[in-house]
Amino acid sequence: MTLTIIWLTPLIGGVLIAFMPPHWSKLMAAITAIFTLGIAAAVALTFDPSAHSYQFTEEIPWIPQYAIFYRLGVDGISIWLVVLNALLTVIAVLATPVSMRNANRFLGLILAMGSGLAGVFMAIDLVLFYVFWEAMLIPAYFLLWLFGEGERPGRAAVKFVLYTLAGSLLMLVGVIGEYVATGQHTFDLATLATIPPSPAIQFGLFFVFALAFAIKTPLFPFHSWLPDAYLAAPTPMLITFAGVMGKAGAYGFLRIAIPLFPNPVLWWDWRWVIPVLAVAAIIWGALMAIAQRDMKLLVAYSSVSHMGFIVLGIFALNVQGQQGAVLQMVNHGIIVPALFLMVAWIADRAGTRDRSALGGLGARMPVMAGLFIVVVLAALGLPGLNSFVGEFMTLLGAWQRTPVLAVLGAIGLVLAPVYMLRLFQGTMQGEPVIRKPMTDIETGQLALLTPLILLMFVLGLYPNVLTQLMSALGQAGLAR
Amino acid sequence: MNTGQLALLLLLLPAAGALLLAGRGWRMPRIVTKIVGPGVVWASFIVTLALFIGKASGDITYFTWIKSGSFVVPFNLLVDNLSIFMCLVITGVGGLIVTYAVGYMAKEDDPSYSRFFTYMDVFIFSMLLLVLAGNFVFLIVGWAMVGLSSYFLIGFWYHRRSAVLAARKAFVMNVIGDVGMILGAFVLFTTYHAITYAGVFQKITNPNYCPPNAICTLSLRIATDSPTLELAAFLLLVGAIAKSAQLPLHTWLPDAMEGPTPVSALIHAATMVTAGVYLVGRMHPIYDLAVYAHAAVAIVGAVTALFAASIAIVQTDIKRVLAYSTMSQIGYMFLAVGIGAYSAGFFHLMSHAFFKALLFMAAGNVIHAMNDEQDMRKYGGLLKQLPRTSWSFLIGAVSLVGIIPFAGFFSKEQILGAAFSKPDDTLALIVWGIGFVTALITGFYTGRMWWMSFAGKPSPDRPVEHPHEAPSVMLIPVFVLAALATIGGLIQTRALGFGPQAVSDFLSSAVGVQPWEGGIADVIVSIITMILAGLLFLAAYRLYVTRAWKPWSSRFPRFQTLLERKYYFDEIYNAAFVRPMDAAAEFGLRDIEQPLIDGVVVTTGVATEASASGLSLTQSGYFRNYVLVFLAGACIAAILILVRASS
Repeated sequence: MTLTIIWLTPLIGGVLIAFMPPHWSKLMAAITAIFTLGIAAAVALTFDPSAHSYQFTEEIPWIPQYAIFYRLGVDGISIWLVVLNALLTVIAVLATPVSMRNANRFLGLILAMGSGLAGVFMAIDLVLFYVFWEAMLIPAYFLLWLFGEGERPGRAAVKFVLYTLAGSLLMLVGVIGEYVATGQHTFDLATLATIPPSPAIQFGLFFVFALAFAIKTPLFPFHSWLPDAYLAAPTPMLITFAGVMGKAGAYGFLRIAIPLFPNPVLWWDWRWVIPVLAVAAIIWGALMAIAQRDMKLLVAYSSVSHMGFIVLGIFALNVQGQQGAVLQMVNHGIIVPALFLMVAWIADRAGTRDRSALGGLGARMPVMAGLFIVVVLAALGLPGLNSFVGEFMTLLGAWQRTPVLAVLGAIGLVLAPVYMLRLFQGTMQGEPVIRKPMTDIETGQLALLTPLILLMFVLGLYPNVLTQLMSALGQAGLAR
Repeated sequence: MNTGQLALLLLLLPAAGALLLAGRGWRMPRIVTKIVGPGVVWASFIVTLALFIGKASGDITYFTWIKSGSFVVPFNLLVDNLSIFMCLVITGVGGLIVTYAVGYMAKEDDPSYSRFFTYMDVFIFSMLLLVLAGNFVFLIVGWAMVGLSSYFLIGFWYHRRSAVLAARKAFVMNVIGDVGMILGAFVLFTTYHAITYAGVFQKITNPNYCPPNAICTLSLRIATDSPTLELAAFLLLVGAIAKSAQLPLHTWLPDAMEGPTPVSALIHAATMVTAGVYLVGRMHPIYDLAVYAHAAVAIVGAVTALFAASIAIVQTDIKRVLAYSTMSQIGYMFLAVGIGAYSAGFFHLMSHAFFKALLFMAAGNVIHAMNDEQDMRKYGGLLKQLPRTSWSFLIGAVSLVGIIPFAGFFSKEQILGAAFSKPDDTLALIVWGIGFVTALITGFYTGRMWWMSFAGKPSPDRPVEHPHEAPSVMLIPVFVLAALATIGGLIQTRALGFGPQAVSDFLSSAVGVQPWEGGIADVIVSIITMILAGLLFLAAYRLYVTRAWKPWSSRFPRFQTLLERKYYFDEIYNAAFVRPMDAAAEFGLRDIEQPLIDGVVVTTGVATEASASGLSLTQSGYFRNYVLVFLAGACIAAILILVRASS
């Protein structure tokens, strides 16, 4: 029941809160989110690192005549994503200003989105996975449409939804195809992993699944929904939208595409195509970030680059690469919300998001500048902070698969300081451009940021706290 | 306390100082910063002394940092004579410099003042981590963290655009080096399945170890090993070159002089930039086997030594002369470790730390007295007005030139002697030749710097008519270093063929014993080198003070331009890397990302919208309705197909 509580609580809470008076809603949403986080943390703490199978499993027949089960379970990979999702939902709720119009609806939708994401990470039945996968789209769409910023948020919402829908409808075909092709009347992921179809069928099925995951991640060249959507998304939404939802795509690769289709070879081998695209994403995302002047877009494209590392690690197809990828999912989930929050706060104070129109803010907001540099350094992969561990391990994994991938991926490491330091120095250093008085970071904002920054240090100094639960990853047959 | 606790204490003292200053420093009275900032460095120095006196050694593992399959990284510190030697230099010279900074930075306001000492303590911590790390991952962590401290300190005056740009340049070039180190660690890990020094070196030096997928007879082992080792050694060398500002990754160091002068003394002269030398010394089991990479170290060092010395001849900014001189002297150290004379290289590292820190700090006193003017042409005649600083500077200068009995003579001539006397090695003889020419140029540019700044009449452009000597907090560290630069070399007088060799003896357990001995020939050559360099030092007087001789540059104007533009490296890098990268980014965004990658999607979307609006009863623009219909349809389709499939 524990896992059901993790996704059901925010969903029920979200529906109720959407109809509550706005000034109550934030408190109630915070309680709901913190309760969920508590349950998720309890699951992580009681998780048995020595058992190499799904834990906290629940199994209820759902549509038994088609062998569809309501099956939940977590292992050393998904548990951290569930915890991350719960944590970021709390921060997203707390970051929502009470004065926001229709704050109750907004918070309800944020909780509902968190519910769908939690479901994706916990589902171990293919159909259930698909249902959660689609379900998380609905709140995301309404959030973008109703609460989007900029001139045409509706357009960004539609683009996002259509793009992802195109992918997930194909995935639906894949789900059915897998059911038919394996012929064992089961949607159980663990069982399906033991009965892969013939390579030619794997080739086709891998494609449809991988396309859905590639769009969601997003992987080069399927990323063009991302700048629009991130630009339109309000900052509290971005915390979970950018922090967790992208990981659902990467998680899909790791949980579905690789175990179910271990040998997708017909005309070519998909397991080589995806890492090449991942390397392309690393470099392309970095280049696009260099070209951006809008701080929000810069962070959005840096995200494309970082997701490339994650996918590269997954397709290293070895323990270091895949554990590094999971680490990096968590790390990126910590760093990107902090970046988006800080960029939004700085833009609020300065009145513009154009990094080249800013400068010298550090003298007037020293605390903000000090925290901003920590976040920026974490984002560019400074050794000692969390992102380094993940990038090091994904590249080490890639190197073991073939050194070329790691060498090309390492270009991303060199480009990251270029755009990240331009972001920091452009805003905080140099001659002051804007003369109006500005306030430093507020206490509430500091409180939001503190857990994220603490985690950057903790996971950088002691990453084993995450990897020690992932021992299953090497042995459970994922890394074939 | 045992070795492990002492080593951890040594490391954590500066970190604690930095945390304290970063958290509360600027809200506390300035005296706290003045005490804590240098205090923690001196405390670390005392701990290092305790390790030194206690003859401590050990490889202490504290906890498992990460474990991922066969990739197990402990947090372990390696205490041996090499790391103790480095810690002595870092905390000893570092303590003097940080103390000096108490006076030098006095003009800063309170927040900046404590910010400065925070960064300095972060640097000391990072540098100690670099030399104490017992595995490649923490080596890289320390390696990158010193780069970060360097970035912070170069850009300390962050309202200056030039400082900000210089800081970013230094950071990015150092990241290139970091990536080299990371890839080098990958090579070693995939070959030897170990990430600690002990694990890797044991397998490299063990003749019975056989890497996986190799057929192992002894001769075959060397044949299968060496390409891997060469690759690893070259990749690590990239890191060493970037950090130590050797060709071709050197362009950040002169710009780094944008930082405050104590920073230049500590990071860009005495400690951080010598990390590359430390790396080659620490990795000597690899370089001893990887002959090509090892030769490359010597060649890079020799070429950089000559290259940088030649540029130093024409620089007019006193700190930039010192910066190029630093590059040149580190070139000597690379040369030394490159030919296998490890302890000679480390001896020069130590004596260079003494005299170059001395020169930078004495120059800092001058700059301080001259209202931040750094152009030597605007000095002149300071000897009478700033006698203490001037004489200290002269001690550093003659040490740099290499005059008996100053420290620089013994260390530099030991390197040149080792290169000259290395048997059956043409390369060593060639790099000796380059080193010899460099020594002469060093005499000349040092003389030029000294005479221009301190001798003759005051320049008419001088910003301060009657300069004042620096306060004693700045003078005492200078005197201490002047004393060390004078007598510090006497602990190892092998360049003269007799006497003690304390440094080599101390380091022999960590880097081995130099396998060959010099003879009387290289002592004679050393004396000749000294005399010629000394004469060139004096010759600069006639060129730049009495102007009895025409400047050499009037005869070779083109060559002078080439030197003044620093062989056009900045221009070439801008044209070859920086601008193409920006252009590619712009082009990619305008001509690929927006029209193609996004364009295809938008066109498809618009086409769908058009066809959908044709079918629809409602107006187009209510596009969201279609999405909802789409979504509902998807669910219905799913259920329908499932029903069909199973019936």
